[in-house]
Amino acid sequence: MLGSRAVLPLLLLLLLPPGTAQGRAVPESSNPAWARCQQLSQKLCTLAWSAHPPMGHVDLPREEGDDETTNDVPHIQCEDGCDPQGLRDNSESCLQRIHQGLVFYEKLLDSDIFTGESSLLPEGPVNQLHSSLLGLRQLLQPKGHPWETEQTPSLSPSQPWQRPLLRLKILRSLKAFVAVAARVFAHGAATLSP
Amino acid sequence: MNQVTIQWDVVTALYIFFNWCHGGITNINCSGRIWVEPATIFMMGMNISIYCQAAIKNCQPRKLYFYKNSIKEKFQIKRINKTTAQLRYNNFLEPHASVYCTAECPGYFQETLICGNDISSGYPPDVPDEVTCVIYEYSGNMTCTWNTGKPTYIDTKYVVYVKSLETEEQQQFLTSNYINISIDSLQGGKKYLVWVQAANVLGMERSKQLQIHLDDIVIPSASIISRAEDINTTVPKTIIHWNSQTTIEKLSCEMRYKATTNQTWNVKEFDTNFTHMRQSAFYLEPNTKYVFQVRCQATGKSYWQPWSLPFIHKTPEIVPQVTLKPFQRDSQNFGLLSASVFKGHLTSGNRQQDIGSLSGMVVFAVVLSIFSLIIIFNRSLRTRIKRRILLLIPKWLYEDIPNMENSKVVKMLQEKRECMNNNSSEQVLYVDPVITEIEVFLPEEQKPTDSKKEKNTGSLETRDYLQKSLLTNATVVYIPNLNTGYKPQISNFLTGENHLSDNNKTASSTLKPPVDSVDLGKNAQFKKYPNFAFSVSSVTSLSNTLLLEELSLILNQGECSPPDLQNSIEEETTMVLENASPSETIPEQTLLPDEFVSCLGIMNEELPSINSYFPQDILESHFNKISLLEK
Repeated sequence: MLGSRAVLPLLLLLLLPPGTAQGRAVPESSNPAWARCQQLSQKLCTLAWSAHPPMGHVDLPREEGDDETTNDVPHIQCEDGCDPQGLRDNSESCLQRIHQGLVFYEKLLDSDIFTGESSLLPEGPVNQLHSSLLGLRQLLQPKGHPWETEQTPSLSPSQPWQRPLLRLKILRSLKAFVAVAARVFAHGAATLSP
Repeated sequence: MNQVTIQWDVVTALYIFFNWCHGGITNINCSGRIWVEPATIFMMGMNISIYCQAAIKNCQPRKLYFYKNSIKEKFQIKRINKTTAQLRYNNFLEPHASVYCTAECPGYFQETLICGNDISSGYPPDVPDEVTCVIYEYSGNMTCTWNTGKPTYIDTKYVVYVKSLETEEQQQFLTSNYINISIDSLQGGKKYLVWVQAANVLGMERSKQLQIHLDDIVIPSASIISRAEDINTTVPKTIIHWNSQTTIEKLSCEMRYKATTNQTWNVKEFDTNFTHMRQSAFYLEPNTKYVFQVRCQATGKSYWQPWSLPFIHKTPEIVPQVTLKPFQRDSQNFGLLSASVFKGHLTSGNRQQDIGSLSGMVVFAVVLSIFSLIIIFNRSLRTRIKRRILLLIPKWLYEDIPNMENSKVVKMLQEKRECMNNNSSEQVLYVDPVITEIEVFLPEEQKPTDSKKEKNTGSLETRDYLQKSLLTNATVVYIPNLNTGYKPQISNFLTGENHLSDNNKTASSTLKPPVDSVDLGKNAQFKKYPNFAFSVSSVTSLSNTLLLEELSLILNQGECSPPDLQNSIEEETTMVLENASPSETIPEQTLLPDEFVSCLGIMNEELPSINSYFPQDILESHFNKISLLEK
């Protein structure tokens, strides 16, 4: 239920071509460097795709019960105000949501799932992904009043055989997240930049 | 309203719990199980079987797949039953591997994960050996290390046992590689037994017990080379200063050094009481970059400090003032010099330094002794040197008028001078004639080349060679009487007497040629001086020393002596005497002491003071002829 509710506005947002949205200017305090954010988010998309482990011939197996449940990952939902109208009215809630998601995935990239022993994942793209994620997060962070992190991953020590599968799952989720974020920043850079 | 709120909270909690049960993004949800036989950790090289059993709701697996390190396995898979499959590995050698299995369920495009596991192979631990416990001064800890043996590839733990020999109290310390045990925790006195037990899932081993005394395992605090000082004395030297914060009074230290371009260390040892600043002098090559390191140990103890950090010093450019530098250095540094001369033996240990220095000194002493012996016994060389010196120095330095009254030889020579001039056969009438043996052989042109190659073949070979040379060269052999001393002697050819046989039967028998080889009739025209072709080794033979000395003396008289022994071997001294006749071939051979020979050597160069005292005319003409023949 919650998943379908969150996906619908995102689909609407994705269908919206960049630069077509029009509206009021974002308040100065919550006005980020949209162009820079757009650039970094697009880079994040590229890196998330390239960080896919070299097991392309092997699909990530489904886990029993995945159909009925959703993962405990951040989702950009309707009430976050990431639609064109919401961005025009007040982009802060949307940006805060994106910020929370970036923090969540940043912690996952820091966990033993990615840092533990495994030779299946090339470190270069993951390291770049991590640094770009950090850069975008710092760019969104307002200087005066730092946002609180509401959602953190429940991390427990992973077993070596689990790590390649978990990495696939996390990267798949991250790719979806940064795709939406990139659309938001593309729209913001086109319509809300001063 | 409150009821609705409560219901909403419950739903929320259930939702969160439901999400947690299904793992989320950081967990894997298994739908079955996987296991390994004989175990997930096994001996490397074993045959193993991995079983996968699916337990998926509403799924009767059509196929079961295995993945090892995310790569699908295609062989050695056996379906056991509807839900279980087996994967076999023969001689499994990978230390670690991850496996998981999936199922192909009807109605799903994707494979469904069943479960996975990690497998490891390795070895049981070796017996820990070389257990060593030391206390680094001021550290407050006893550090114990050991040799773990070959890699086990699997998690292996080590337990260090420390048992007091005084209180029987035993302590255990778990570690993985080495351990630092606080000295404060060692309250059971000074003496302990230490051993190490290694264990992993494949086995357990225990080391031998090491008995230690806490006072004996202290390693002094680190020594540091502080500076180098170049002293420009007659022999430039470099002083290396180092210090240590140790409180141990008696230290044994070593300093090793080498040129940076060299691979061999030279080690200098010091065994002195400690003073705060130490220094040591080295005599080094100028304009060379050296590296120094120092280490110390408590005197009489077992453990050394690690070598200090390398200290690099370049010696100044100083031109050596004396060419024979090594001989100017004092005896204290002799061993050091020897060690530097005989390179390649000083690597890292002080024992090798000792051996190197000792061997260097021994070799040097042997070479010096041999050289001295050669000079002593080689009268030819000695005579030649003396003659050269006499030629060089002014006459007044060596002019020594002999006292004729004291010279019996001179008297005798003067008395018989006329006889010697006119008829050499009358020389036989002397009281102390030469105990020689003169025999004539058929002359051949063959040269005794073998003697050039023979070395140290002993008296027997010398004898053989002498016989051979006598036979092949048809020489006249003069065998001096060893007891006659240095007197002018005249050998009478074919006297038929064997003088030497009375005095030295061995020499006579060895030098006497076979009778049948003597052919006097064919050799009536020639008289030949003996070909004293001795190998170098035969000269040094003890059994023939005196005899060969005398023979050598004959050879070395005046200018008729060949320049060296090599030439004497190669050249046949074939001479035709003045008064030669088939019936009376009486060569005149004189045995004279070195002093006389020296005089003879310079006699031709106008020594009037000596000419007047000796019947030198015969000898002079004799030697002149020999010289001419040589030329």
